[in-house]
Amino acid sequence: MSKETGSQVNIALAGNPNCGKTTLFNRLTGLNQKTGNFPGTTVELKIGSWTNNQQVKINLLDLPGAYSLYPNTKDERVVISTFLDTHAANYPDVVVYVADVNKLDKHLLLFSQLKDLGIPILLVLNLVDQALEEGMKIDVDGLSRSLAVPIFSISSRTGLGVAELKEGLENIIKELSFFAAPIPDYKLSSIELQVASRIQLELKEPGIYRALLLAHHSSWFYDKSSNNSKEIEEITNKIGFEPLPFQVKETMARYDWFTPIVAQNIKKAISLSEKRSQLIDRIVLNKYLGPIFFLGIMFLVFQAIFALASYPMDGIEYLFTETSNLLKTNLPANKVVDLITDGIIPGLGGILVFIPQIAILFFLISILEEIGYMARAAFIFDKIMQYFGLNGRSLVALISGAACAIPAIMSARTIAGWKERLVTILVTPLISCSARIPVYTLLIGFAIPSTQIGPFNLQGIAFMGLYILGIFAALTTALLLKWILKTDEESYLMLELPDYKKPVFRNLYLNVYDKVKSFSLEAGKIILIISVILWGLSTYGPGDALQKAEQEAISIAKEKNFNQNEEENLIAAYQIEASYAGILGKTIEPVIQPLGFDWKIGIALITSFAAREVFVGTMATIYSLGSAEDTGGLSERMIKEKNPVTGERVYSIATSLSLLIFYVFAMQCMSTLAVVKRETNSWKWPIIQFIFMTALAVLGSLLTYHLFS
Amino acid sequence: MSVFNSRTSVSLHALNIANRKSSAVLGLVESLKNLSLISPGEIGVLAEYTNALIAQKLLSMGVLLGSRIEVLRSAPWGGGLIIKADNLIIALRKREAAALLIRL
Repeated sequence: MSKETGSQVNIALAGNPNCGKTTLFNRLTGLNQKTGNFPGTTVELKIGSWTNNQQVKINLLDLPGAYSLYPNTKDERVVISTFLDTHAANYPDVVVYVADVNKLDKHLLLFSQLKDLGIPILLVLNLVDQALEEGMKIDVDGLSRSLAVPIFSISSRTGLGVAELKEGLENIIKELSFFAAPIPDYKLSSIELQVASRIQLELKEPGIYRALLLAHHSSWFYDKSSNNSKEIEEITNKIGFEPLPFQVKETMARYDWFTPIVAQNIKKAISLSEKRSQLIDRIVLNKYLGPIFFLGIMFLVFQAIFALASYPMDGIEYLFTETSNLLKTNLPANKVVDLITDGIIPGLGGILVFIPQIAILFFLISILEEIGYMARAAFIFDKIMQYFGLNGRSLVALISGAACAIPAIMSARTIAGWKERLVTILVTPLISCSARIPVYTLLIGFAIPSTQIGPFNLQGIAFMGLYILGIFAALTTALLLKWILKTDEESYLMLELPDYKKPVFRNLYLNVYDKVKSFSLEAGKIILIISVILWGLSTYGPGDALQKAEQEAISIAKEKNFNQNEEENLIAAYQIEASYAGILGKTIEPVIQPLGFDWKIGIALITSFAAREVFVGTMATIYSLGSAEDTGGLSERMIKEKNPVTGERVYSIATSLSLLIFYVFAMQCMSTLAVVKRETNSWKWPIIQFIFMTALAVLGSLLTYHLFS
Repeated sequence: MSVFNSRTSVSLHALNIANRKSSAVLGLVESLKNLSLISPGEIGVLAEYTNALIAQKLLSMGVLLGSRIEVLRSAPWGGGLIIKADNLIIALRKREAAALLIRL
C-alpha cells in the first residue's frame, strides 16, 4: 500500500551532535515548525511540516544529536525512546540520517544501529562542498552499495543538494510499503540472541535488534505500571545478561563493520577548518587568556543589549502611548473603551517594549552557540563548575538563563549526571532572565540617578550588579545543594568540541524568532487576561464605595484648595484605593509592609506571581487608571507619584531597592515551574524551588529595606 | 554491575581488534601510560580502556582502540584536558582521562 492522499508521513532527522542536522531542518521547514511533545509528553522537540503534491502531509521531527542508542544523557534517551515506542503517534516512518562527511569514519555508529531497527533510512552526507574543495575524494556509489543505503550529498549551509534530497524523500514515501524488515548487520552473540529471542516471543516484538534494545533499556524505558520491564528483567536475570559489556562489544563490532567501508570510499585531505580551529583555540582555550576572553565576551554581550535595544524600545513605547491617546480622543468615553485604553494597551505595551532586549540577547547567545564557542566555555569552566556541584555544560544553561530559564533548563538535558543536572535545573532560575529586565529598568529608573562615572553610567552599573547578585545566589545555592544532595553516581564531561563555523543566518533568525514568538504569545496571553481582570477589579468596588471615595476626595480637595488637575488625581487615587483591587492590596499590605511595599505594589506582586514581567503591565494599568493626565511613560508617573496628602514620594529609594532585590530572587514564573516539573518528573523539585526562592526573596527584601531606610 | 568483568571484555577486544596479540603475549603492558599523566604535545595510540562506562561513551564518540591520541592542552585551574583523537577534538576531565591507557 502506498501513502494515500491526505495521509501523513513522519520523518525523523537523526545524527551525531554537530553534524549540521538542525541547519538542514531549518532549511527544509523554514517557518513551518512548531514545538511539540514527544513521546509520552515528557520531552519537547521541534516538528516541521509541509504537504507534497500528492497531498501527503510530511512531518519532519528534529531529534537531538546523539552518538548511539545506548544513551548517557536525557537527550540521547529521547532518541532511543522515539524509536522504541512503536505505538506513539509520532513514530517515524522514515529516518533521514545526517553525517558530517569530514567525520564520516566517526559518524556512522548511530546510523548502523538505526538501520538494524528496520525503518527505511537514508544517509545524508553533509558539508560535501567544503570537503570537495579541500580535495576530498568521495565514491558515493561505492559507499551506497557497501552500506546498502541510498545516499544524498548536500551542504546544509549553502543548500546544495537539498532539492534532490527532498525529491528522494518523496520517492521513498511512495514506496514505503516495499520496505522489508532487514536482518541486522550486527551479528548478535549467543547470549544476546537468547535474551532477544525470548523477549521477541514474550512481547511479540517483531525485530530481533529491537528486542535486544529492550533488554538494554527496560529499566527506564517502561512506565512503572508496565509489566514488560518485570518480564524482561526476569529473562535477563535468568540468562545472566549484563548490558554494559555487550554495549561495548556491539559498539566495537559496528565500527569494525563500517570503518573499512569508509576508508575504502573516502580519501581524506587535510581539513582546513580543523587546522583553523586549532589555531583559534590557542588563544580561546589558553589557560590564562581563555577565562579573560570569556569575561570580555560576556561584558560585550550585555553592553550590546542595552546599547542596541534602546532605540527600538523608545519606538515601541511611543507607538503604544500614541495609540492609547489616539483612541481616547477619538472614541466615545465608555467602560469598554476604558478597558482597552487603560487596561489592555498599557498592559501589552509594558511587555512588548522589552522584545528588542530579549531578541538581541537570544541572537548573541545563538551566535556563540553556532560558532562553537559554548562547548569551549563549558570546558574552561568545568573545574570551577564542579566545585559548585555543577558541570561545565551547566554554564550553557546559566548563560541562556539570562535570556529565559525555560530553554536553559531544557538545555540541561545534555548533562549526563543526575545530580549535576538537577542542581543546574534548580539554580538556573536565579540567573536574572529577560523577563526581569522590564522590572529592573523601571525600578532602577528612579532608584538610581543616571550619573556618569568615567565611561560608565551608574544605572548601567546597578544593572550589572543585579545580574551579578543573581549569579552569586545561583552559585551559592548550588554549593548548598552539593552538600545536601547525595549520590553515588559518577558525573562526566566528555565533550566533543566542534570545529569553529561561520554562523548560519537562517538558524540565528529562526531561533530568535521562535523565542520571541513564544515569549510574546505566552506573556501576551497572561497579560491580556490579567489586565482585564485587574481593570475590572480596580474599576469596581463593593456597593457605593467608589462614589463615597470620590465625595471624600472632593471635600479634601476643597479644603486644601487644590486646582482641578490635582483634584482629579486625588479622586482617581481615592477611587482605586476603594476598589476591589485596592481592598486586595490593602489585605496583604500588613504582610509586605516590613519589606517597604505599599498596597499598590501588593497588587502587582499578586498579579506577577504567574509571570514576573506582569509587574510592569500591572503598574501601568494601575497608574493609567490612577492618574487623570495620560502623558509620559510609566516610570515618569511613578516618580511623580506622591502621597496626595503629605506630598512625600511613595517610591523611596529603600522601597525600590527592596523591590529590586525581591525580583532578583523570587520565583514568579509558572512556565518555569511547569518545565522543572516536566524535566525532573516530579512535583517535589518545583515546590522546593518555589519555597526556597520565595523565602530568599522575602529575606533579601527585608534586609535591604531596613538597611536603606 | 561488575566493572571487572566488563573491563576484561574491553581489553580482550582490544587485543583482537588492534592486532596486538604479540605484545600482550610478550607482556609488554608496562609500556602503556595513563592519559591523565601525559603532557601536552605528546602523541600515542589508544591501547586500552580501564573503565567500561567511560569506554562505552568514548567509543560511541569515536575514540577507538588504535586511535591516534594527542594531548593538545590542559584546562585552567587544574581542570581537565583536551585531546585530539584521530579527527575529533574532545574535552575530558582528569578522572576520565585516567581510564585511557596510551602506547606512546
